[in-house]
Amino acid sequence: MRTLSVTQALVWKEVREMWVWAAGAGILFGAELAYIFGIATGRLPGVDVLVVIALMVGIVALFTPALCGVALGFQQFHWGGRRDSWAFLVHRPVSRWQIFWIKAGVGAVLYLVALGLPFAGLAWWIGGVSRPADWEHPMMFVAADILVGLAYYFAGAVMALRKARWFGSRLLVLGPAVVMSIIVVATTHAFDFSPQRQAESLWPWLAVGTASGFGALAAWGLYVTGGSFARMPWVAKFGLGTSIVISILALGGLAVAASIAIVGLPEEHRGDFLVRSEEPEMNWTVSYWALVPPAAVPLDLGFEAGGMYPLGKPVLPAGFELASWFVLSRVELMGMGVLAAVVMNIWASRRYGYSARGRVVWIVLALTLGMAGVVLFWCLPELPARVKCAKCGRKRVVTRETCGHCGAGWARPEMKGTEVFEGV
Amino acid sequence: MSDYVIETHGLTRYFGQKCAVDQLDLAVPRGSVFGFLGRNGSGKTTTIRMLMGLLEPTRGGATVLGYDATRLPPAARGRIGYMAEGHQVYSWMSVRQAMRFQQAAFPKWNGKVFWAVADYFSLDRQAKVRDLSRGQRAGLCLALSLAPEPELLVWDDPALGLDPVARRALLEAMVYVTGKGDRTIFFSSHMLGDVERVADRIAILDMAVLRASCSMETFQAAVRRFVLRFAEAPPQVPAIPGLLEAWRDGHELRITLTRYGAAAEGVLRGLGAEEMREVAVTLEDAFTSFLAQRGEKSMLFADGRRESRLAGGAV
Repeated sequence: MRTLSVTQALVWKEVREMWVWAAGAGILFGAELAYIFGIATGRLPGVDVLVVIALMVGIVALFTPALCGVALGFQQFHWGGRRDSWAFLVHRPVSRWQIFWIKAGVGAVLYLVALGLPFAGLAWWIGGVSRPADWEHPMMFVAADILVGLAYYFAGAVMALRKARWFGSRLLVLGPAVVMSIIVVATTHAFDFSPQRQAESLWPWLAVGTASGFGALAAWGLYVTGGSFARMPWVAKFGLGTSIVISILALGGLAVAASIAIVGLPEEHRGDFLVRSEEPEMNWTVSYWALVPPAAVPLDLGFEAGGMYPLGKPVLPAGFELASWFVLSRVELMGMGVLAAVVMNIWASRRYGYSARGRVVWIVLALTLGMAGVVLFWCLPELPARVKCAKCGRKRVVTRETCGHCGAGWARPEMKGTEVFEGV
Repeated sequence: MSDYVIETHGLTRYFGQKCAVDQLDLAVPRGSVFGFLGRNGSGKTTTIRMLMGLLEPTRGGATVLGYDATRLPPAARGRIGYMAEGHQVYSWMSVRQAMRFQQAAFPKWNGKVFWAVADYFSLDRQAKVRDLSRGQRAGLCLALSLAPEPELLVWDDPALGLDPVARRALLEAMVYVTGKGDRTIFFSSHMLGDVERVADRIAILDMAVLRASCSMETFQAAVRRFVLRFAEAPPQVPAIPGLLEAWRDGHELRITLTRYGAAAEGVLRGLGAEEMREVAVTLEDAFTSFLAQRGEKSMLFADGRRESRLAGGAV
C-alpha cells in the first residue's frame, strides 16, 4: 500500500470533508443563474425581462458568493477548529502554517470550482443561444463577485477562529469583503475581463487580492496560535487589525449616512448623499471626520488634488442648518477625536497592564487611527482578567508577574499541611 | 540531555477570573510512568494542553523534551505521542484510513505496532470510526499514538468513559508498552485504581493547586488511617497536623492523615481512646481521602438518623 505524503493526506482530508458543502453552494448558485437565464431567454414566464435580470443578477451575484464564501470558510474552520479536533490535526511533525495553507488552499479552490463551474456553464450556454441583452456586462459582474467571495471565505475563517469576547466583534472582520462588494457594484466596468482592458487596469485584481489577503493573514495567524492574539506573527496582527479598522470606518460611514437620512438634507440634495456629488460643497460626512483616522488625510488630500471628494468637504451645504456649536471644521473634529482616543487608550493600556512599549503602540494607533484606534483596543487583543492584589488590595492583571501598583509578586498557593512532596 | 522530559515552572492559566492551574512546578523524570491525578475540573487537561503547546499559559512556562512548550518544533512533536481527552479521530474515516492519515506525517511510523494494538482491540480495518465502540475508539487512539514510536507519550484521561472491560484492555496495553525502558508516559486520570497498576510516580492536582508529587510507594506510606475506639461517644476532633478526614461512627473515630509523626501521635493519644489501632489503606482510599473535603464527618447521630455532615475547623 502506497504511503501518502503529508500534503496528499491533508488535501484528501479537506476535500473529503468539504466537497459536500462546496457542492451545495455550487448547486444553489447554479440554480439561481439558470433561473435568471431561463427568464432572459423567455423559457420561463417573465415580466419585464431586463429589469428582472438586472435586479436578480445583482442580488444573486452580490449575495450568493458572499454567503457561500462566509459559510464555507466558517464551516471549514469552525468544526476543524474545535478543541480536540484541532489538537488532533496540529499535533504532528508538520508545521502549523503548512497545515493551515493546505487547508485554506483546498477550501478556496473548492469555493472557486463550486461557483466557477455554474458560471462557466452559463457562459458556455449563452454562447449557444441568441443573447437577450448585453450579457457581457452582467457576466463580468458575476465573475467579479465570485472573486470577491474569496475575501468572504477568509473572513468566514477568521470569524470561526477568533476567540472574541463579544461575538458581534467577530463580524467586524467582514469589513474588507463588504467594501470590495461595494466597489464591485460601483465600478463594474473595472472588472472587464477582456485582455485589452486588463492590460490597462490591474487595480481591481489588486483590490480583491488585498481584501482576501487581510483575511488570509489573520486566519493564518489565528490558526497557528490557536486563537491567541498575543502570539500571532505581526503580519497576521496587521491583517486582523486592518480588517477591523476598515469595518469600523465603514460602519461609521453607514452611521453618518443613516443619521443624515434621519435628520434630513436640503430638498435639492435629497437622494444623492450616498454618492459623490458633483457639487463639492454637498458634504454629508461632516461629523464623520471625528471618526476619520488622521492616517487617511494624505489619501484624502490626494483625492482632493485630483478634484475628487470621496469624504466630502468640511462645509455644510447651503440651507442645512445645525446649531452653531456643532459646525466645526474637519481639523477641529479630527483633533477632538484624536485627543479623546489618545486619552482613552492611555487609560485602557494602563488598566490592562501594558508595558511601556505596548502603551506607546496604543498611543500611536490612537494618533493615526483616531477613535477607530479606541474601538480597536477593545476588539483586537485579549484583555487579561484583573484580580485583587493580596498585598495592596487593588486590581492587578493576571498576566504580569508583579502588581502594577505595589510591585508585589504572586503569593504561592496556600498549603494545607497535608501535601506530599518528594524529590526525584 | 536533561533527566526530565517535562518541567514546569510556575505554570499558571486563568480562564477569565477563574484560575485553572495555579503556579504549577512539576518535573517528570525520563523513563517514568507518571500518573497525573485530580478530580474533574482540577486543571489536568488544561495543564496537558499547555504542555502540548495547544494553550498559552497566562504566566510561567514549561519545557517538553527540552523545548519551550509554546514553541514546540514539528520534529519535537514527532517524538511525542499525544492522545487528547475524548479520543478524537475523524468519525468519517475507516480504521485503515485513519492509520494512513497519521502515517503520512510521522516518519518513524511502525505499522506492526499499530496493527498489533488494533488487533488487540478487535478493530475491523474497514470499520468506520463512528461505528466503533468507545473502547475500540480508545484502542484506535492508543494505536495511533504508539505507532510513531514516540519517546514521550502524553495521554489525557485515556480511560475516560470506558466500561471496566475496555478500561482493563486499555490498561493492559499500557502495561505492555511501558516495557520499553527509555519511554516516558505521562497520563492523567481520576481513577487511582487505573494508575495504581502502571504508574511509578504520581502528581495530584486539587482545585488548580499541586498537592502531591511523589512515588506511588511514598504516597501510600504517607497516607495513614487510625481507628480509635471510645467507651462513649468520641470527643470533638481537635486540630491534628496533616488531618485529611475524621469519620465518626458510633463509638469509633476513624482518622486519616498524612505525614504522621510525633506531633500527630501525641494528639491522637491525648483523645483518651480505649483502643487505637492502625488499619491498612488502599491506594484508592488514600487518594479519595486526599482529595475529599477535609474535616470531621459523622455517619450516625445519637437519635439514629443516618446522615453525613462536615464539621469544620478540624484541621
